[in-house]
Amino acid sequence: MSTSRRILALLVVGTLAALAAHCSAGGECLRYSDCADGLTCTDGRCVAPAAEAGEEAETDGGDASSADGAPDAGSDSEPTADAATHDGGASTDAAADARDCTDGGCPGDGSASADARTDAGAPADASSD
Amino acid sequence: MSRSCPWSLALACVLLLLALPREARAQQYLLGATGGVSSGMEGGGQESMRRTRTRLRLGGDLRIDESPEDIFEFAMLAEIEPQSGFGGDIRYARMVGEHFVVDAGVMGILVPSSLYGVCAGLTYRLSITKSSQVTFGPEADFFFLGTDLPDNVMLWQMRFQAGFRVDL
Repeated sequence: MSTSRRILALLVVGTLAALAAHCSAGGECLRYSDCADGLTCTDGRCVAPAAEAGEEAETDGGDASSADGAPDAGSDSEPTADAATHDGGASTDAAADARDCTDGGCPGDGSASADARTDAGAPADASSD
Repeated sequence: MSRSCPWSLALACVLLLLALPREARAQQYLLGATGGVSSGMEGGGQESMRRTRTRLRLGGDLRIDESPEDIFEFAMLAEIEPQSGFGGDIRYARMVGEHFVVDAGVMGILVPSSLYGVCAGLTYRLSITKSSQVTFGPEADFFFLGTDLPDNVMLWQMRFQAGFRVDL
């Protein structure tokens, strides 16, 4: 094989490798089985299964909290006593966390991170489309 | 003369019937074994292209000596990385010339979740010995059914496969 052909072959292999590396972005999914255990594929991303329910609950929870007459549902001081609003916020937190997960899984194994974020207003901002 | 005509016709039919099984017995089934590995690019839905799963294919092919250009292929599929899965395919293939084979068929991934679709490929057979060949060529797969497929997504894969084939 001549030198020019070797260079050409190296260029072809390099181009293919670069293309493959560029196209294999992490965190994307085309199949449910692309996602780690506990996650599901939605809109090309691995998210926690509760994310969809959480987003629905977010809307419902927001309405419910206002309907319940909770004075400061979005404030940082004291969350409302409505348990549904808590659940919706926690699920949305999990969804926001899960969106950062890649194929390798989350540091917390994709589970709803049980950090003590009880702010019902922040998740609403993070998950609003 | 007219009465002997039906008898001669019946005799001709009997002789024809006796002759047919002899032709059928002359048919021989030709078997081949294949193995290969493939990978490539995939896409679908809202996602851009990415590298698809590397897949092993182990199977065989069946021909009849009277029409060796028509080939029935079957294989077991194993996706090995980055995620695993197992399934199979069934294809009709046809020799085009001395070295090329075109094929089309149906395939499915059955484990851990189901995925069904169609496939088509072109294979070049490079003879190593009289009964063995190195095979390589492109393949296109389209998956549109199964529990592993999100809603409104059709998964396509463009693969390059390389392998080995032996006449049994």
